[in-house]
Amino acid sequence: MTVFAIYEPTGQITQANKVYDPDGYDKLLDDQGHSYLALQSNTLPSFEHWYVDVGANELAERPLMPVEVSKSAIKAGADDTALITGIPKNAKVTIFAAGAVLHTLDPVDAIELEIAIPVPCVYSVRIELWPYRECKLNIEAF
Amino acid sequence: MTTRRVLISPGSSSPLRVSAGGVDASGAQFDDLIFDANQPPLRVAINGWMRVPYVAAGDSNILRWATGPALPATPAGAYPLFLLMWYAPTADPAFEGSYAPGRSPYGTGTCYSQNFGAGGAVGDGRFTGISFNKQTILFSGDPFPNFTDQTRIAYCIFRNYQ
Repeated sequence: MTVFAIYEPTGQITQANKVYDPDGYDKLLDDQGHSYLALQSNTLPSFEHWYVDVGANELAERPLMPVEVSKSAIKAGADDTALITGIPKNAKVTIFAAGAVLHTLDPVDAIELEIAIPVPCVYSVRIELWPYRECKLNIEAF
Repeated sequence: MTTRRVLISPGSSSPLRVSAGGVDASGAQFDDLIFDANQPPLRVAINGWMRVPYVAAGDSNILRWATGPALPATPAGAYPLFLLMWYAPTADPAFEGSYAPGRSPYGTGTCYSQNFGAGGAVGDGRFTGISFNKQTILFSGDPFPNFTDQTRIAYCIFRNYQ
């Protein structure tokens, strides 16, 4: 089966199509100005795990961030903190809780983030930097 | 219990042709009723997924769209059909960091009087994915931060063959 992965200049896959009669489909994509990679595969590559290495012109796995967190539960309103380390340089960090964005650091000017929470709740921290896989951590204050 | 009896009769007014005419469908053998290929069959041509920019809260546009897969030409008088589902990032801890599969392409939020979803259209030789978010209240904060990734639409496109 032929799969066509269409990508942006960064290598982000914007669409993946399994084409059952692929003869001439590459010309259709050329005519529409798409950049694409044709693969012989029975499965569609997911955006979360794969991207196109444009230089090598092949599918590559998105790397995991080397992020670690010292603890996922801390005491609210105290001196207790959670320390997130290994944040890649120039990453975007978004902190949200209770359905609202509380802080956006784009890019974050550090490779570590120390979080204290004044009231009991669950904070979610999302760290993004292409082509790393998105990293999301939950820190609960009790 | 009501029994409906259907007599399968070939005729010039019917677009269908059957292997044997004048057969009562209620007791017929399958081989007596099977249609031949008078009508071009629909077959799966493409299945896949595409990303469409999410309509964030406070966005002055209620629709965003993106160019989807190119569609192969269909025979004269035939058009490609499509089915789709909406894949969306989820806040459900059971699906943490993943996409909830198989959502319908429409949803409502009781909070903020919101309607949202995704869809698509076939035309001009391509599939176009559409994401929408209709809000009656505009606000500065995004109450759905998990949607800051792009909306993803999964589709299956059929075409006629002759």
